[in-house]
Amino acid sequence: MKGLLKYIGYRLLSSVVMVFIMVTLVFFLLRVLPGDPVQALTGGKAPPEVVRQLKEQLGLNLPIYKQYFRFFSDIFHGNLGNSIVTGESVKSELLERFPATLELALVSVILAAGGGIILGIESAKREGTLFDFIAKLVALSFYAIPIFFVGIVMQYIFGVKLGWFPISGRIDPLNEPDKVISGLYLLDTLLTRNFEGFVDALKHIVLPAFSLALVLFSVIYRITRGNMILQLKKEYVKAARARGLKERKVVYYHAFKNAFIPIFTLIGLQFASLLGGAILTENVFSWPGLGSYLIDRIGYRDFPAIQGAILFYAVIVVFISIGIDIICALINPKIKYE
Amino acid sequence: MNLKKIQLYIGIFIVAMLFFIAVFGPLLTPYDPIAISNATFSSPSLSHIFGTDALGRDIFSRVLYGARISLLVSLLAVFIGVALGTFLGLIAGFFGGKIDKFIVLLMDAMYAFPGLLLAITFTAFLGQGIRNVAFAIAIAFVPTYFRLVRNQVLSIKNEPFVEATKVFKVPLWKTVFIYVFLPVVPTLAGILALSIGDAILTEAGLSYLGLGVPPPTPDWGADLSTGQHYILQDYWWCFLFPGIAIFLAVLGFALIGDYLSEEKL
Amino acid sequence: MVKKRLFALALPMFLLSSAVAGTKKDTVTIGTLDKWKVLDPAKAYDVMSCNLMQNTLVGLYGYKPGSTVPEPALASSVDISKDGKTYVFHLKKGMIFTNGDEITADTVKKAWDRVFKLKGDPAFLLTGVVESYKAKDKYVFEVKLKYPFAPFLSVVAFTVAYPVPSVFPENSFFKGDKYPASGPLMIKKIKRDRYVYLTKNPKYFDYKNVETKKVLIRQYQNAQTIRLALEKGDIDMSSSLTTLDIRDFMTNPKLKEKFRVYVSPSFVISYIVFNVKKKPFNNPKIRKAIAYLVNRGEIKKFAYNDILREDLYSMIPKNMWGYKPVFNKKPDVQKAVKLLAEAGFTKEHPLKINYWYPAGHYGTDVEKEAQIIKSQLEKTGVIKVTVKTTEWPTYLDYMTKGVLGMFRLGWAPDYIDPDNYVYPFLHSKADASLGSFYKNPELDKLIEKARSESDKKKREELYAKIQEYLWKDAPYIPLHQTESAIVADKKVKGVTNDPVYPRYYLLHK
Repeated sequence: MKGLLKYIGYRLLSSVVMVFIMVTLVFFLLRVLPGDPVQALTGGKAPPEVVRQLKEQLGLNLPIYKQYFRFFSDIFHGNLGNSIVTGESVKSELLERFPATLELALVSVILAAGGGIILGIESAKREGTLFDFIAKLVALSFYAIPIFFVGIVMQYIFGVKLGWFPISGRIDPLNEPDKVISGLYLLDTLLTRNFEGFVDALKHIVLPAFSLALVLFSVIYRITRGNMILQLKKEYVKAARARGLKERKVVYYHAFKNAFIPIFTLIGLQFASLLGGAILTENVFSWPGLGSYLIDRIGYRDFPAIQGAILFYAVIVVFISIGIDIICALINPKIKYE
Repeated sequence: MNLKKIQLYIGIFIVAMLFFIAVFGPLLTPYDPIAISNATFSSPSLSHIFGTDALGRDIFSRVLYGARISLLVSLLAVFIGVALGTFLGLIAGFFGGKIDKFIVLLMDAMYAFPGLLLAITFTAFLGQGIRNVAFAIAIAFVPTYFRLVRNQVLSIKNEPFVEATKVFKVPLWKTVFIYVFLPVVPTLAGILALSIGDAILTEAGLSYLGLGVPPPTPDWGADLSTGQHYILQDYWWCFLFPGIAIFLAVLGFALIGDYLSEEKL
Repeated sequence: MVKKRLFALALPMFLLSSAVAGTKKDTVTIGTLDKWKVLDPAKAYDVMSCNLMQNTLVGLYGYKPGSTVPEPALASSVDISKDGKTYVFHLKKGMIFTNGDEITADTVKKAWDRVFKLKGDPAFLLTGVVESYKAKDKYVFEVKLKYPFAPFLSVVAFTVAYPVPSVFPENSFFKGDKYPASGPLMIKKIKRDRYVYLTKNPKYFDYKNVETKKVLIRQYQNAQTIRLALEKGDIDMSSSLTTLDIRDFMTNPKLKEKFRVYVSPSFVISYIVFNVKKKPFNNPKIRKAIAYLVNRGEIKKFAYNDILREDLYSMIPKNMWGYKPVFNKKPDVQKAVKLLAEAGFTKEHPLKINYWYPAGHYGTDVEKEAQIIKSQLEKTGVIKVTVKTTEWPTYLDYMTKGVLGMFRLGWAPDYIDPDNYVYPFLHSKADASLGSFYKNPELDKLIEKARSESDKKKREELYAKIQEYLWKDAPYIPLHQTESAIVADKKVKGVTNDPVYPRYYLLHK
């Protein structure tokens, strides 16, 4: 336990350094590479002296090192600056979008993990059979279709032709919860007993979540299958079977428990990466998440927004990966930490 | 026959076809893939077996030529990824200390970042072009190969046989080749094949966002992204053929990659 | 396996609740790709922000639906001095914001103070011409100009000159998204990048002419989803569709049954720019040779699905007074080859050039357009074109730094007057920002004279002269004037394809 605490301390410290490097890199890249927020904003229409004035207003005429110090002193005051495009505080813009991203990521990870793990285990049990072969072929095939294409086809079939699900957005604007509790509409609508809103939000999330889950599913399936095959060949499994334990218990409890850590780690990392925004899915379904925010603002060279989004994202990734490590350590105390 | 072997053979067959088309494709095409004509949106027929697109270009020719571009981009991306990853891995592994810590931190940061996000950020700033797109995709691969090489270096660094190479004045590259490269080849091969499939998909995603290989280059990702605009117009041939090409290529590499990484298990 | 089971579980629940209240019957829902950026007249310079403010606030001057001639709105009349430099606006009495505050000359003055002090993106439109202004009386607002400027009333009709309610801070831009309205509609509910919900303003002075009950504007991230949303019935109308989809709505009998397409000319033009300082485009012969080769009809047919484009032969659009078609109408390969030969280029020694267009910024049709222009120029056998592209901010950067030699741009006017198609493109004071770097002192004088002349006849003559230079020096090649198209469900009434801004307040079901 002491080792673990020390390890977490080390991880936290190095994470701060990592985030610092990341943000610094982005900061300088933005200013060195072509593209300028003022031009992007005025579309090249404003006369040169106006452009100069606007740059001055935004502090973009200062020497880079001064901008850099200003940026960091702002961060230490918990301030990410204001967006150049909208003038709103970047922090509030990010916080407004984060729940959308989180909700989509959660639902798709649950769907994908449910499907991927069960099929992976069943496949591993029947290693080398036709069932296994076909399951794997299906999983790899899902992976091989570009995700935006899956999304568009789903919109067309389930949205327009069959009319089952909405094809864009998080909820019908008129059903939008007035009170924001968690920002997760599925949760908020339930908490406020707004069942109509809940069903509406659920309907909206089906298509984007499923198309996102499809790709994730094949990744999770592969790692589950691989690790389960490894475990099922081990002595303790044979021993358990010999003791006359039910096959179901042997596989789903004993073997899976031992295969769990790599699977869990992978799911955790995939989840973290989804929190950066499932850019393509968000675009297809006009889902108002972090990924589309970042892309949008790159298109305007909105420096504060881009820096803020990257910082925010890096921090989330750090927390999740440390979280994964802690959970793994609690599950399996035998892991040693350097 | 063993089903596992079948998986491998299907994969190899697809990939071999792919390379064949990439090399000899241009000899098989009756049309210039970028020559526009008045026969726009003609459905598949004897003269255009895959039909023509919005600018009257022959889709069959574009798909065949596209094999070259798509393979070029993805192989280039993987190559850059491996090269950079190996280079950094060797440095980190052999030097150790603060340099190692710094590089590891940087790589960890990059590893956690979604590949597409990195690629988008880079192409947005670097501009479009085969080289830039390949580079942008490659960035996401670097950490994977870095880890592989660094771990291998660490595991052999203090072995007596490595010390011995110093005494016998074996050139450094030989030591690296024999003790670092050769042992990781089995692991590497599986990851490589999967990376190539990944690169093809990432490139298609970039194209969808308008950041891929610039037109009129015949490229599957670009053609699928343009073609999918015609779903509702029922010009199915515009997206179906480049789509199948991407699907098969990614599947082929994934089948091989999956087989190789499992054999290792 | 498992997925199917989950699906089976989920499905009945959805089917049970098919009747989600959602969008009500009296709401007109619009789908759009445009996002509003900032709701402050002193800062906003993008289409959607301006549209929203034009429907929720009123200026001293405005436009009647369908017209492009400014006419009094908050003002009842204006007196213009003989020298054209002093404007005295008389305000109507009893005009109020929804919070009850009256709009007086002082309100206008305060709003202008903000514009001059905060120097936001569109401020130059006012600060460039206005010398001083003051509230002479409670209902009299006086403006003095730096020089006589004929299109001034058009500037006054633009959002930058609108009076704003007192919630807009004196010393900073407005950061909120709801404000007391003075226009026909007011913002009821709004979420950035997602939707805007507008309802009728009960205190609007012209209340009886507002047809709308509720308008919901939904923002989408790609045009294809908008088309699907229309077919599905999620939205009632949109003007953000691709030409391909619009053509479907025009021709497909099934779609025609349910939808109607409203087409009208717009004031948006598309054109090619030459950087006249960059080789080889510093040679007018080469610019002219290229102008001789461009076939506008062919571009329209193959790149734009043969709809919504009109060939344009001057930088001033056709439906604007003063238009004079100065460019050659029929492509002339022989003349082009001759000019190229004079410039020293032949089949043996071809001219190699790059042609640039911005990726994504003007939709996907521009990509096709570039390929067609390439093939048109290469038909001579004397020119070899490499098509290049980059995303918008980088493109602008390259443009201002003079990296781009021959490239594609589009222009939407700030005010409806020929001056806005001439001054920014040809006057030496404005050149750098539009990428041609063209300078001509003679022409400068003509342009200045034309914008300060108040007699329309005389102005017309001057613009005719100015346009001659366009063809003589060919720093630009005008390509098309776009037509705008709105696709709307036939149930929606009051759809006008307005040339100035969309009139949400006339829509109803």
